[in-house]
Amino acid sequence: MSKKIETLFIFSFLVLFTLATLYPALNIIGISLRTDDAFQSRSLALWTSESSFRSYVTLFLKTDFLTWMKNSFLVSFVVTLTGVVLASTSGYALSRFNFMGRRAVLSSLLMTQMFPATMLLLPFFILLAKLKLINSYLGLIIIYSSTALPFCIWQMKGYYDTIPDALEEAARIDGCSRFSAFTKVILPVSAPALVITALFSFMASWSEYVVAAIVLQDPGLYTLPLGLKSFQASLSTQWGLYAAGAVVVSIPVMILFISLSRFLVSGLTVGSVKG
Amino acid sequence: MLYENRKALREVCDKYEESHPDIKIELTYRETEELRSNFQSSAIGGSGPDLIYGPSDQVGPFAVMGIIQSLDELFPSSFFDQFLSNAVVRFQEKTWMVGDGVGNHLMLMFNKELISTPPESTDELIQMGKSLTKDLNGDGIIDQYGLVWNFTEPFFYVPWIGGFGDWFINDDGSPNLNTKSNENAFAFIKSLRDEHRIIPKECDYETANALFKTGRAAMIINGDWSWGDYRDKVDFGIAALPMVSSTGDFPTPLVSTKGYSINVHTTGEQLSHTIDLMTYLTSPEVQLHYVRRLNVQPSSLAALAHPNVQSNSLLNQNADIIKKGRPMPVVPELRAIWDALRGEYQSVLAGTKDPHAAAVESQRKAIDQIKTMNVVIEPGVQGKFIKGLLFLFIAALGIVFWIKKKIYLRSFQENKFAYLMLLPAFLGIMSVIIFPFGYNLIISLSNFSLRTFKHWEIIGFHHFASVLTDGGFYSLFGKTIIWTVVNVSFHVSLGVFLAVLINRTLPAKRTFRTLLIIPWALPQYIAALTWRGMFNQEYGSINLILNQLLNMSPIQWLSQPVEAFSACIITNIWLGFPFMMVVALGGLQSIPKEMYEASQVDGASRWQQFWNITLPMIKPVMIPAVILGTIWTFNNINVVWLVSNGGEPSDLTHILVSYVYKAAFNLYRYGYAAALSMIIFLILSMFTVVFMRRSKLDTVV
Amino acid sequence: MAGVSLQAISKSFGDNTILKGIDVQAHSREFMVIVGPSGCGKSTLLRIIAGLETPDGGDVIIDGERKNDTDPSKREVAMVFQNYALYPTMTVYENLAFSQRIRKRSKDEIDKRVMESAEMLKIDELLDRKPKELSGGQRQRVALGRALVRKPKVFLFDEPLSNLDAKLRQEMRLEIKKLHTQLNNTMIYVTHDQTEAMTMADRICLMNNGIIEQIGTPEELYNKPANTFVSTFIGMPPINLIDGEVCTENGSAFFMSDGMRINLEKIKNIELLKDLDKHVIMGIRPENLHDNYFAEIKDPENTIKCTVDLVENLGSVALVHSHSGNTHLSASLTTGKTIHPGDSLDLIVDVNSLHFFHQETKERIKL
Repeated sequence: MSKKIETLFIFSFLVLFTLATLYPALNIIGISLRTDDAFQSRSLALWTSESSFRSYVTLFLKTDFLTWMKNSFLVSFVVTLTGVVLASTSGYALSRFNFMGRRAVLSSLLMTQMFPATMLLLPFFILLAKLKLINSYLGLIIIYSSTALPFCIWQMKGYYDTIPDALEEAARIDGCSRFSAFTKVILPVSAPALVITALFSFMASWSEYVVAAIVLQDPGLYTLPLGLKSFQASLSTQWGLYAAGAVVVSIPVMILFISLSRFLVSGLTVGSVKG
Repeated sequence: MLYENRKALREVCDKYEESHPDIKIELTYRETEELRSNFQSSAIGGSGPDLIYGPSDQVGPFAVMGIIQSLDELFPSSFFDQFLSNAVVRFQEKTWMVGDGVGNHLMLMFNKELISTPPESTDELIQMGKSLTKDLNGDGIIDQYGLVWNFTEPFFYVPWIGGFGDWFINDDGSPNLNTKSNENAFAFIKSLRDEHRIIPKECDYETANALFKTGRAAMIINGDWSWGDYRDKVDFGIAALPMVSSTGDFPTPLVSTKGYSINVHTTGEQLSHTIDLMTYLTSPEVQLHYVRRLNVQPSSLAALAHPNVQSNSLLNQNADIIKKGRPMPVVPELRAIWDALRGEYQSVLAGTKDPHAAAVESQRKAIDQIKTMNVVIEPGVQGKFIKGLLFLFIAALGIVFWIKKKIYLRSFQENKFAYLMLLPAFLGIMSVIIFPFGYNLIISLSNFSLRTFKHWEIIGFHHFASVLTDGGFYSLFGKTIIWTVVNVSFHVSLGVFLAVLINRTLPAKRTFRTLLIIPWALPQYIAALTWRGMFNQEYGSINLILNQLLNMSPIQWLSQPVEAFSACIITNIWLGFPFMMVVALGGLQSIPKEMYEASQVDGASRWQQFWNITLPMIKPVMIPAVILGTIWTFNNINVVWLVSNGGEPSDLTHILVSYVYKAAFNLYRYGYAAALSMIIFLILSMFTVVFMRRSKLDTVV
Repeated sequence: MAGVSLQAISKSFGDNTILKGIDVQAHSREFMVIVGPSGCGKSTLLRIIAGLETPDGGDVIIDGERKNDTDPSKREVAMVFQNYALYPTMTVYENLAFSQRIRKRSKDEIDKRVMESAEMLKIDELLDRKPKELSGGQRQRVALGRALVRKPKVFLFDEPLSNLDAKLRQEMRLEIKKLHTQLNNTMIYVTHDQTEAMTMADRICLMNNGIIEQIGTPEELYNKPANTFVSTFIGMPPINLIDGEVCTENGSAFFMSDGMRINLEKIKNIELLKDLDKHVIMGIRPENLHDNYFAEIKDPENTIKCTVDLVENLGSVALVHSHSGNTHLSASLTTGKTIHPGDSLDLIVDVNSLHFFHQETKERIKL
């Protein structure tokens, strides 16, 4: 009996907590449904008599939102692909081989997280300008794929560490080369971690603003965050549009997170220690 | 730049492209602050747009950095004579910018439905304000304000200093803040809020704008740029800022121009095209188009003489208001003065300083900041020594490599596969992280700043010394530690707590898990801005909820230092707990059920089980996550910057990284900022090493 | 079919020398078991044959060819791992077919081979399952099947049965042995279990501390252990080793130890023993001690009076732990009467099955 009461208690607590957690997210949706000027209102209601989908209509029909979306998808897709390929290969090397410099590489991966990212912007820019990669997706993609990389490599390495060596040994004896043992046997087994890596790479590029702002100058190349920010002029923001844009930008990430939350628990191995 | 203005600009550019089929104009838009920092970065990289359009106050810094060209050699002097003199921006005896309109000045706008004639003096203003600040529905909350404006910003404040007699800046660019006028102006604004209560307690630009547009404010102080926005929504009139009754003087709004400058890297044929385009964009024809579309006060004499302008009553009225203003200074020092003034002014408004102390302090700070901004440390012996040391270090690396090349070569051959697998990622990380890191290391040893923008040299450890001897660093460091510790402990405890709850047999547990991840999934900048909105004193949901549920009086979340810092922390806790929850869930799943059963047989309570089984078992997963979380939190600039709007109030909500950002991009102190980043890096490295040692986890690597 | 020959193989990991010059040859079609305590280097040796480790020195010769630098994928050996190492994402069928797909064999041929092996191992019912849906024994069979499909020149087994329970282990032991007779190819089998070694091997290679202690048929190792280590490792329950002296009294030789005196005159080449230094280690296996009570021929000269300490009843035999003086003796006795701790017991020593070892070198004294 007491067990049931306890469960009920916990359940109701979780319901309340979840609602509180979701409120800010719902709040944006509420704003996106109001007119530009009604965002300063004392009403807590998300849907009011003034609410309408007008901002969404404007967003899709009167702005370049669809172009930005297409651009963002393109960039994020390539970044995700590159991120997964790079993280999975180098994570594998770090997990399986005891080569000279391995420890140094692992520690420096962690160290890259310690330097304030804002100070990296100026050198990024200089480098890209020297390579003539300003105003091109290539420059953006290189930066995006690499910034999420240290974490993704750690993450992949952590996962590989949990896979017994015997698996690829068996594959090699079965006739695989080192590389095909990796691609044919280890990668399929690492699917949960790959999914997580893909998710992080995607997130790193999908909603990034600061780097995109220095690399991309042609409005035709704008990604979503850049476009979104252009609704927000220094002294006048089109709040309704901005919020509607924010909602739409968040949707793909939400969908990914929600559909992959199963993998998040099993695949996130930042903490795994090789035993 | 407003959306409408951008559209108008595109229109005239399209027209130009029509008549010049071989030329294509690419427009790229940035907000003022970003325009500045992005253009600086691109100038160092040797690129960037040919033509830069922006407010005149950016001329000073750009000219000092040498990233825009002087226009005197490019245009005949007769060209400049076509414009009003304050549209031709000169600095240090040279011309740098030509404006396509003048204005950008503040004025009083009033809702004609509520006010027939605008107040002419501050006494009238207060009186009218009092009668128009009303609680319409009698619920004890004010629904309509007499006056609103973004009063916490210096730009919106300095006209009043003029109204009380003095001006805030001297002709040589030095600050003039320690004046009776400044004190009186401080006290005046504070009295509007606290004594006469005709303005809201917290009011940023967005709030003021929205209140005025929806008829919930009778008057607003705003600039000419907002006309287009209000035109269809409010029937408004414009007037000069009311005369200060005690002095009989009118407040003096800053009048500036927005105009075009030319990138120093633009040369040759591109340059002549650029000159041609600039001539077109400032021509009477284009300016008249703007008059029609946007009601911009033209800068071209020919346009001003045009009947369309002569007969435009709004513009005529505006011209009178402009006469009461003073030109916007273009010196780079302005930024330091704004900065010093903003902080002290916000302290007065927060009630932590009296006007006199604030006036004294703002003057001292401004002088101080100008000094640090302008100082050029000459490379002395130490600089040479460091240079030599760097050279030796590189040489030593080379020699070591040469001596050990056989070992390296063998290692490479033995593990060729591993090295090849690592190579692509290594190259990426090398270019994107390690190169910039090295670059910063060099910069931190150099005198890179506003005045040495293009010719910096290595000077040694000056910046490190000045960071470490500055008391401010330690208080920032203290705040950063509080920020990190509070955040991470909440992330972990909340995360573990929720994970333990969710991990039980519970209906809909997967739904909970999914929904609770959402804060993590939401893009950070969107989340931070949303939270900022929710913290608004009068209209934010947080105060509304606190009021409705707990009947609490509204908290001034964003204008009081402790509250604002708490607001940042609350936001970040919300953003960060899902990560820890997910990691903890992963850890919990690896605990065998038998352990709990065994402990139950041994008679352990829930609590004992948690302490003796759950915690030790998830510790190995949690510790690396805690290390990462700590590093991320320590270096998380987004939340602090966006929620506190860049350190408000009075730069008291900064943590180390946001201060780095400010030093580098607001105050042009790149060398100093780089040294500070290196110190942050060292602090975090030490933390990680110590933490790993203490938790016996150096095996992780 | 191919033999495997290892010549002067050495290997160390850092400062830790695992193999110190190993010479061993598995003949074609032979079932060779490499056995030894854990850490003796046997698994490393097997991995060197497979190509998963590179030896620091020495040659690996398979089928007459030096294969030191050949990639494991090209060595034509199959290996069964201790933890099976089944590919978790593939079904049983795919697991079996994997090596053939890598070799790009035709679909029909793959199918044929997989079915053949599956039937041989009775796993044809399981082909659609994933490894995690299988029991331990079934996984073991799949692992075997995966090797079988290959039709390799050489089979390698790395402690394949150590994760199974006792009953299954015995079953699989037979199964593997049967496979060997059916397929009749070279198999090298690593284990730490001497029972597996004794029951399965054509020849055993007994390793300890990175060296080979003895190579030979199970009988040789049992009957003529090269040293005390071999004698204790092989044979269950383990041999009794007793320190003592060989003395000559009235022209006949005796082995003397605390509480024990055994007449050695019946041993054939006893002269050899007499010439040696008097201090020796005598070994006697528990099964070579008999209860005087049941003995048809009494031998009072070689009867030891013991006191029983502990009795382990194994059904057909009882393992009796006893002592005489300070010497501990365990004997494996047919159960005909009940023996209790504290009883006195007369044990007859089968003099012809005694082993003698040098006290110093622990080497066998050949008689």
